[in-house]
Amino acid sequence: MNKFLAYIQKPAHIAPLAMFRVLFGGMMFFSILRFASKGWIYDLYIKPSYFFTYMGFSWVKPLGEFGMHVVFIALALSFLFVMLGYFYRIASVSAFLLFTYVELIDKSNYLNHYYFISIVSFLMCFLPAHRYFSFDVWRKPSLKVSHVPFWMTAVIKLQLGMVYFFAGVAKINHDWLFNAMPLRLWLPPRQDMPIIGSLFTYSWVAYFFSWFGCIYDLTIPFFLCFKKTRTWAYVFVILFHVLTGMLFYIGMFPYIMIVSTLVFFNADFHLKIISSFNKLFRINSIEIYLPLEGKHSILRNFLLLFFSIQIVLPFRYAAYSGKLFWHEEGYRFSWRVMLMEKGGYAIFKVKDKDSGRSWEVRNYDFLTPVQEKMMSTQPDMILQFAHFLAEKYHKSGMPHVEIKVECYVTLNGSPSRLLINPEVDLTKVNESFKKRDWVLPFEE
Amino acid sequence: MRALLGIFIVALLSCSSCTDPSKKLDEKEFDLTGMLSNVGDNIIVPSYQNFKSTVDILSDAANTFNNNPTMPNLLSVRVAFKNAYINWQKCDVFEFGPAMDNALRANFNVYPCDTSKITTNVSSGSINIDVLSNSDAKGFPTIDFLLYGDNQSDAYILLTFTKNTYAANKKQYLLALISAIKTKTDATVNAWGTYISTFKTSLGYSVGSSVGLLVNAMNSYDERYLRDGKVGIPAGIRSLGVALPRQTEAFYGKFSTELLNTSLQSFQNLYLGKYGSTNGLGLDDHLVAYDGAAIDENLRNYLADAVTACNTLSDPLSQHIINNQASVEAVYSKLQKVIIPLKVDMPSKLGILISYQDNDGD
Repeated sequence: MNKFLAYIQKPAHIAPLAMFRVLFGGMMFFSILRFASKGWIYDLYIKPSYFFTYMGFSWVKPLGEFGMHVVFIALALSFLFVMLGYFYRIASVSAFLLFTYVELIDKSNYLNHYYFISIVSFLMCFLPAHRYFSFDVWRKPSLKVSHVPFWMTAVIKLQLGMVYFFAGVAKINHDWLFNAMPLRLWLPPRQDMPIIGSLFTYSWVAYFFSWFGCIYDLTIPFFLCFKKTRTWAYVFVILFHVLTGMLFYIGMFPYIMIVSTLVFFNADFHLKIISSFNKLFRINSIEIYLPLEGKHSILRNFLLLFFSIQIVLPFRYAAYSGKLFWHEEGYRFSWRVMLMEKGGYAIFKVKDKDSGRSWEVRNYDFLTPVQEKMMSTQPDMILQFAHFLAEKYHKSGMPHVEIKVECYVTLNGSPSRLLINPEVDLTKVNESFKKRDWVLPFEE
Repeated sequence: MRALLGIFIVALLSCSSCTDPSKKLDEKEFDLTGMLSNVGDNIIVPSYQNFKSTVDILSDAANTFNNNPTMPNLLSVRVAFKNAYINWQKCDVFEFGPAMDNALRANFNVYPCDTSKITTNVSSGSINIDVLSNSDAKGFPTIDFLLYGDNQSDAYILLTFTKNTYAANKKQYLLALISAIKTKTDATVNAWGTYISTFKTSLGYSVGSSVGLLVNAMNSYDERYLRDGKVGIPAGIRSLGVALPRQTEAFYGKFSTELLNTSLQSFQNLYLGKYGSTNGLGLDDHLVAYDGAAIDENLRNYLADAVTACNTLSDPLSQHIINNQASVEAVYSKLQKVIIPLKVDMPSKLGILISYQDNDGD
């Protein structure tokens, strides 16, 4: 243990960390601008009349048209300041809090990519990434250090490596490897892509991509770690992400990963880039070590716990029987990226026990198309919506309604079938971490 | 690295035994351009052209009636109106591209119309049909009310155009509504003249591709305007269990069922790529080519069932709902069955993103 501690305390140059701060902050600043320019602030956070909150976070509410725009302006500025390393302590904390706040508003918008951003932003709050190559150092030269304990850059690498590795572990399943699903459904429609597009009509290409993707995800963190393989690994990083970026609607994520993985390169590489800004930031070769403080060991222990949780979280699905992709209990926060093609349609059937009347709900009166689409395949959201409806009818003078759902779902091209037991009155069901007995099993 | 490559190759070779060998190395091939050409050249453009000629006839009839408001002329406006409304049913589903630019659906067919607003508009004499507040006081539903009235005799209706205090206003209102329809129809037909080449060449399956636009338009039309608008809402199934017979389409002219049948049949033809008696390349063929013959079979059967069921309904539909709600509910359930393969299975099989809204994925 002491040997391990000594190893991770070893001073390492801060340049990779500082460079990561610049790249990550810059990409996120651009991402927020892109998000706003597409009109998504309105579409996702102002237009909907109902929001699917996370369990335990039902108190998180959007702030209305004016408020949400203020939040996004503050968010963009926070990431810009992170990039510049200007008032970094405040900027990094506000970037993390605001971004996470926005993500907690509605789980319809959950993406592993956003979860990744939240986590990295969280880590950045604790790391002294502003103490080199930053406006903070220019403002207050005494902040400058050239070396930090090794673990401070290693946590970023560990985090990135975990994203890849767990994404790879998640791909080790029968559908992905032996049926090339869902790539066999996703690739043929992209056959208009230049040069390689015509290959996508062959199923062996889907198998190749599936296996390649799996092996890539599982091994790339290690190849990036070793000096000998690093350059080639990085070529693969670029190829992989550019290709997936062209094939799928995954927004900024590929580009964020391409620049983020540069953190695996050694200090000399980063110093070469930084040296072009030499004069402005008074970079010199004087070595200044980050003073070791007592709070560092608290932080270190806290991060150990933080990563342990992250390692366990993707495996919580094992506590639930049945097909994970179908019931999705323990699916989120586990780096299960682009693993399944799922589509559904939910018909909510309401019966007012007092008047005897029954009817079906026009989901589109309450939900945006994206919300309805996400809800139609995810049992927890279906239950939330049923409870929302019950409350709504209650308020309009119908205290005794019964709500059942007929929800048809297709998974990886399977014929659509019922996801939820259509005989169960969802107003009587409560959300919990227990196995959901109102979700029907997936019969192969 | 080399060892990994070895594992990879071995795995790839060994896995060929785990799946149906006939599905290996298969090639998914479909003439997408052919389907888009068929749908565009033989279905969409002719549908709009037919609609345009019926609108022209309606416009002429309305002008004749305006100059000479007699009973025969009123009746010929009604005939022309009904014919145009029926032909609109064959175009309504194409709410993308030019139709979207001209907001045809919102301008032509918001029902039920607001009769008290219409009455106010008539008595005020000056209306601006382009303002948002008049969205339910224009288009076919309002013309329907102006031409037929709420269960009034033909003689009385004629009087409202000739002798009543606001007769001149009412004639003007009618003309203004019809000329607005004509303007937007002409603009759409003209726009399709150039858009057709975009439509035929915008390949792929992304949100903005022609197939993406078409399938998303078909889904939202079938779900909201065909199933819910024409049947579900007036029958009470999609309106808190309270039947709303006055919310049927063409409630005053009493030909709702005829409109429903036309709409559903042209929807069926669109899916099949069928025009006249020719069955060209359609989504059905696409599904079969993409390993989705079972989905196609379901869709074809469900559509045929729905057409048969709708044929059992009679006009006026509002009366049918009041007298025999159960039979309308049976029709509704047939329409409901179509949605599942259409919105769930087909897009999944063809790789079409169903979303009337743009966003990033995972």
